[in-house]
Amino acid sequence: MTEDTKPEFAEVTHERSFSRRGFLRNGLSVVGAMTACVGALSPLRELDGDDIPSVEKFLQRHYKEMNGTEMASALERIRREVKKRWDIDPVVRDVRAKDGVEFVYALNLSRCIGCRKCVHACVEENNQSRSPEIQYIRVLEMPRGTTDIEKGNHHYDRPTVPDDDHFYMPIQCHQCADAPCVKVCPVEATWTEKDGITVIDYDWCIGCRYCEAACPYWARRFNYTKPEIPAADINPEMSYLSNRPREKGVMEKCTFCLHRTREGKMPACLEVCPTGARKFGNVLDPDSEVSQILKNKRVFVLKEEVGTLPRFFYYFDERYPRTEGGLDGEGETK
Amino acid sequence: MSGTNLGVSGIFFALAAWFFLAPATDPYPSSKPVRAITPEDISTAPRRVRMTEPPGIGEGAFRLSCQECHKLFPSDRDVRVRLSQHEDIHLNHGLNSWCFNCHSLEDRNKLVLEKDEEIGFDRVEELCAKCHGTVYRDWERGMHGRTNGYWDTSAGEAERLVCTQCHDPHSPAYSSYEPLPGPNTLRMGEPLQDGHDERKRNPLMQWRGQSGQESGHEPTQADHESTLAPHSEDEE
Amino acid sequence: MKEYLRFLKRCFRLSFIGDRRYIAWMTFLSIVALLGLNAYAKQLVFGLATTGLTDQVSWGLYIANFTFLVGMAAAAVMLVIPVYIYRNKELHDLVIFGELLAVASIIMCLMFVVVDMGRVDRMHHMLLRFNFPISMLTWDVIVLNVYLVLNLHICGYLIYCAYMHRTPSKMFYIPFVFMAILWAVSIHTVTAFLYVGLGGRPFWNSAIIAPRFLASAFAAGPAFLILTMVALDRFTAYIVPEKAFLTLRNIVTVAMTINMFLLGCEVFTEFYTDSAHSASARYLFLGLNGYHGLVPWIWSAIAMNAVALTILYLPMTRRRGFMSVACVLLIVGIWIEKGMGLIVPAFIPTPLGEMVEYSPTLNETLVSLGIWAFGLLVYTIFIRITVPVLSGRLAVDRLYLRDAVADLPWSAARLSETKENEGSAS
Repeated sequence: MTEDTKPEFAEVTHERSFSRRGFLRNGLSVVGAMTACVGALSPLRELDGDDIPSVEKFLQRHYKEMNGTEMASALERIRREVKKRWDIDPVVRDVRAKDGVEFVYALNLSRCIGCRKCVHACVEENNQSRSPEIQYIRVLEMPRGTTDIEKGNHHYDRPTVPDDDHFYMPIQCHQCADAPCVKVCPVEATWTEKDGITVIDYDWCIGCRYCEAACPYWARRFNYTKPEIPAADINPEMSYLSNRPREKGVMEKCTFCLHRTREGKMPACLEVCPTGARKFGNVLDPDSEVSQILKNKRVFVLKEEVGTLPRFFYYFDERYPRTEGGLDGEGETK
Repeated sequence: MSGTNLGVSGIFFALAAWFFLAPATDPYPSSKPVRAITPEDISTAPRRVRMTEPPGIGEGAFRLSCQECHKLFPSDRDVRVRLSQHEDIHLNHGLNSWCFNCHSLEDRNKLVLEKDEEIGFDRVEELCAKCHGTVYRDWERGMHGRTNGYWDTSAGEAERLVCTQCHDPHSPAYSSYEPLPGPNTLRMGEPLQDGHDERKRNPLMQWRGQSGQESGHEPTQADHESTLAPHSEDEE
Repeated sequence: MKEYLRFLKRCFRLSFIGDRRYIAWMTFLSIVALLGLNAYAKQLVFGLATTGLTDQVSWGLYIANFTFLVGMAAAAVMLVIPVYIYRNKELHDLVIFGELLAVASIIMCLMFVVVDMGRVDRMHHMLLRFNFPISMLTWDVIVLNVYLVLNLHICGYLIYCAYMHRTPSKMFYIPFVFMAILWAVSIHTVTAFLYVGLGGRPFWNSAIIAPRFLASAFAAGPAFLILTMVALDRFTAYIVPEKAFLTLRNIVTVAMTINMFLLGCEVFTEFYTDSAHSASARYLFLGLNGYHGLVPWIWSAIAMNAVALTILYLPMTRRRGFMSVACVLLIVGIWIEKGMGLIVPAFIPTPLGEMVEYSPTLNETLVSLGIWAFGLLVYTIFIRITVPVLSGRLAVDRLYLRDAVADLPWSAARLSETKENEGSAS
């Protein structure tokens, strides 16, 4: 019943392969193939410690499931990683949502001059990768007569802004109340918190990029490679859900600076805006600026027909932004 | 069969050698920032300093407030030109072309509201409200102007900027900025060209002819200058 | 159980045995697969920046291949309908080849999804926190894996029964076969729904995507099966009945006709309305704002499909040569249409109107080719095992593995066998 008896058909040359000897001869090719296999995997020797998760990180649970101790050790782990990589001492916290607060952002298109300070203040505040450069906010230079964001120019580079024939529309994550990105995530790595902010658990995201395909406002960014941030540019005030440094292979996006706003401060983009075009606050408070704006100004949202219910409202006051003079062709003095 | 065998194993070993010897370096380009962003670029400081008292000349014990000089000579009600001592002030305030619409004739340390009521420089927003009532109404509710600091006033101070911290009262039109660098992603598309597709699709552009021209208005030197001039408080 | 392990061991050894052409083919596939593995290792180290993907176009060659292969997997089971529903006994054996193709395709699909993931080390998160039923991706994970298990069971059971000279018990496979028919439609519909449900991408947000998926899949899958059977007929002792070719040819022709009709529907809807929502369609078919990277691709795909369909209608495809050519053209055309013509254009322009084109990098192409090579390797091994089993040469009572290779052409054993067959009535 064994298979290593002498073959009967001697003239069939490949019979040898059925004997054990023949099999060993074949074995040379097999060994060659295995060596080639190991060789194929040899680039993995370049994997550094950051890429291979520790046991603690591997077993870490989803943000919503972690208890106090687990969160504390996760924050400690993040502190250690930041210290190891950039040699600074960060303060990493888990800033939670407050009750009775729902954030709304309003943007006055008559005031935005397209200076892009918000873009870079955000990059600075949120520890975004500088190489490749990730920017959460995209300012569109829109021609007059349209609010169709597909007509905007992203790459305007004028000596001065604003330009008389355009207005400027910054777009970032709208923290939609019915967010398509939240719907499509297979592992629930992104969800909407009770104060309205759509957050991402960077340690849970598997990097499938389905949310990036789903977002109608192109607000989500993916780390296609390891993010590079110079140590001098690190913001050491970090929080678990917002601006702690991310790794390669996970999604990120604007979080309305929740590490600031959940403590009552203004987000970084608003702080730097020179014209006061940006307005932020708690819409549940009837006296807040945003409540007043929603009550009194002619607000609209982008791509309303998609049904995402964004928390980001745009409005115009009386005209487009301009630098000189009154209405067209009048009002120059002396 | 052994010939094939050796051939196949040879190929595999050669492949293995190539894998081990090929450098596993990163040949893939990555975008780098166009220029470094300085702290001044993203400074949150207000554009202008707030004045709570009239600007004088001199310092300390030798400080002279405005009225110290102006009480020495009479004011001409009809004056509408710039005087020699205040050459740095360019009045470009639209229809507001008379200094004494805002400044008190009798006391240069004061500003005037309606019915010649005098107020100090620390209440400048009320002066602006005299003519820009609707803007003031919005400003009071935070719908106009900058609010920095805290949105939650129970947690901290909300810093409301006053009119003159953004607008120069003599030339209040908001001046231009040089924009900071734009997007810099792994791969970039070219900027949108204002070609046929674009104009056909923009409803307003259909009626305005060439982009850059206002309807019923020939482009003048002023129009060109307004887009090209660096930011400064130039006259027309 | 011991017998089963022995069977597996014999299968394993058999896959290394073959004539020169077989060895050359397998070596070639192994080399390509290893190159792909190497490229993937580089991708693991440096991240997905080794591909041509960007934030603007975040799904590319990997998902394009995934989409195409899901279709192939679904359609491979199309043979099941004529055999089991219409009781066409002659094609019985071909069901197994079809389902083996389904298995190989699903393995390739799963591999493409894995290489597309940013964090493969977190795959277990899908088991721990599963956003079912809201996320269509979770549906896709379930249906694909169940389909794989289903087909593995059916094929494995039937092949093992043939090996053991047992009659397969109907209870163990008939219900699964019918389930597989329904499941085949579901895997493709669910994959289509992945794209269809996104309101922010108007190119995808159309009801016609799912029917088009099915139609093009049911053209490409059987076409690939035809090519497999041509290869079987040529390289092995297995004789494929002519009826099989004709049945499959008819399926391909009908499916392709429907596909072309649906293409016409899509083109009309996009271009007659000419709203802003058809920007992606305009980019694909005509170019937009000076970008026309995909225009030659889609038109050559349509041309290939049209030529293939025309050839299929003509009686000349009763001959193998023409049929093979039509099938190759069709498969390539549908691959382009489903891959570059469906996945990539939805990202161009972005929802904010930015135009960034996509072209895969060498690394990305190597990984994709590697996965294809691996899939073909797996399928070849499956056939390498199945043909001897079905012809009775690899069986529990056949002690010598060498008998299994008796079906190789030019082997002395086959020559003497054919002489025997010619001698007795066949």
